[in-house]
Amino acid sequence: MTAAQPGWGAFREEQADLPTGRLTYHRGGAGRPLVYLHSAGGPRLSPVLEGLAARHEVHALTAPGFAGTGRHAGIDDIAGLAELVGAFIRGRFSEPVDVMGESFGGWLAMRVALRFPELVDHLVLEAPAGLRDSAPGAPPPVFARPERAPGPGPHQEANAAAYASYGGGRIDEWLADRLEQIEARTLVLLGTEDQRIPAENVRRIKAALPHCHLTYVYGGGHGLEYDEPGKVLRLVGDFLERGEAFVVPVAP
Amino acid sequence: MQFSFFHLMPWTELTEPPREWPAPNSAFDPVKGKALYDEYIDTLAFAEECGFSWTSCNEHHFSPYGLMANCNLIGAVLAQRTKRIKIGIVGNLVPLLNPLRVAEEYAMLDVMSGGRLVAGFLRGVPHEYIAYNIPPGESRARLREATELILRAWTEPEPFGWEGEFYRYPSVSIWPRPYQQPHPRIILSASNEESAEFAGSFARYRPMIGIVLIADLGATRSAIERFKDVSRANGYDPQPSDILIGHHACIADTDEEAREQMRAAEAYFHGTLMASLHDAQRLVVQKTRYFGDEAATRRVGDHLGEIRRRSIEELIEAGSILCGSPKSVIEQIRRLRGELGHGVVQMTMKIGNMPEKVVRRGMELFRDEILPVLGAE
Repeated sequence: MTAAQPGWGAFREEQADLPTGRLTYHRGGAGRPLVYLHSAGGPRLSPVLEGLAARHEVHALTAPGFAGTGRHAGIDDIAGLAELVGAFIRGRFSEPVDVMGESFGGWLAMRVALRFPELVDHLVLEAPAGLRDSAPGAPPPVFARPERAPGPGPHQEANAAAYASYGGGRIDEWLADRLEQIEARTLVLLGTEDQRIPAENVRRIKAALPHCHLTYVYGGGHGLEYDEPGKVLRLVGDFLERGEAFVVPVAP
Repeated sequence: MQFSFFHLMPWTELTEPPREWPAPNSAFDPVKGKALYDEYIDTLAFAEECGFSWTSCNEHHFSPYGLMANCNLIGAVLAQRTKRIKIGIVGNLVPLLNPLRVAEEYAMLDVMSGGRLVAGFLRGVPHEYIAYNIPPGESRARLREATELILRAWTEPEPFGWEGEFYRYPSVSIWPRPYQQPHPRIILSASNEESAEFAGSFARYRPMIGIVLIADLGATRSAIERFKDVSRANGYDPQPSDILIGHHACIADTDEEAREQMRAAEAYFHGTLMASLHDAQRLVVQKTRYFGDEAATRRVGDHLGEIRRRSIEELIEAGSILCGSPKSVIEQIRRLRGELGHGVVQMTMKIGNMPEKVVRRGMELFRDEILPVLGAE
């Protein structure tokens, strides 16, 4: 099944039948495949995703329970979600693919890279969650530039509940103990104005992973893809295209 | 109170103002230049013997006004020539420079001096944006980003990349990192409300502020209060020791002698050294948004003109200069402290072509008669 959806531009909604249930994803663009894992805010077509579709065939997966989708039997934690993503990649691609995740999606992407190293080529983690407890009280703002933020989607409460049900907002000790086993060449991004993910977390990832680049995005908050889409797109596009050589300047 | 001895390293040999800016360097005699550098470095080192807390210098370009195109070079010499005194680099003109080079050179100075660096992050004066071909309208935004990048380079334990508006560096890890932890003390300008608010927005780094060339005590007080308000709103409560006020200073045995020396030196400073700068400054200020709005542009223009036109007595009254016998200067400093609440006084004693023996005598009088009184207050 494939269908256009409001807010998704040229991306089409598709379904993948997996052993645990039907997985919704949005596909757009053409080129080297990229599997994208959304934040706790739920799936949406950000300017970054739209820009990446110019060079990549983007598959933006919807974690079961988000955006009004049904849950999968037996998939009730981050480990289960990683199995789901692994099954999707294995079923659809014959080569390792690049995987990118934002916040909650970054946490899930690390889990996928650990569990299925043979399926993941480049890994991009934007303000990855998974290594911190939620602080008590009202959460700090997501966006440093609220004027660029997307409006609230229709599934906010359900998305928040789904995030919590997968263990969101808690420290993933299992992952924290195994960070150094993530083999994929990784780019970690954090906004200099991110109030949700402390810099200590990304430093820890940078120090542990054997092939990791950490880049601070000046002026960006937690919602990097809306706060600073141009910078994120430039960095991620360059990293996915040139790999470790993305640190070498090229003439414009 | 603490005291900073500041030096501009002026060229003393002009007989008439340069006809244009930049000043033609045919008037620079390298042999005399070598002698002046030797003399000025000796004087800056002598500040330690005189009990100053800081010995300080800054950066200027393309002008006989100051011979420190790179004040970090002077700082490196002072790190070797002194033992205890803080080295105030007040400061590098950060928007004109490669911020990572600033981070590295400041870190070197801090390590070489055993943690004695006070690191200034300044925007500079308008015409210097012509010198280094940087759009003046970007100066504030460049200073903000560069400051964040430098602080990150000093404190980040892992290699990192920086994706900014003006600066992009894919992989950074400076060696050495600073001696002072988490980083050297930083000082920002707060000469007007706009820059005071800017300085306060860096509260997370607990900056000092510096204000020099005061023309109006009320405006200076407002700027200090603005800095404090913005800092407090961001969780930082600045103390008197976090506020530096800078003056041209002439201390002599008598009030009359000090005034006479000051009058001649100020005439050379404003009438000769600064003369060719005014046109270039006016061009930048009028043709760009160097200052935030037209009112601010006008205020700054008026401010500089006002200082040039005033008599010695008026300059003392306005807080622009310290001038007189030790007793008079103590009174002047106390009055200003009462008005502004600052804890660090910076003195520029080599004003223009002020004779070196007058400078030295002033430093000795400071050591023997002013510091014993005010140092304990």
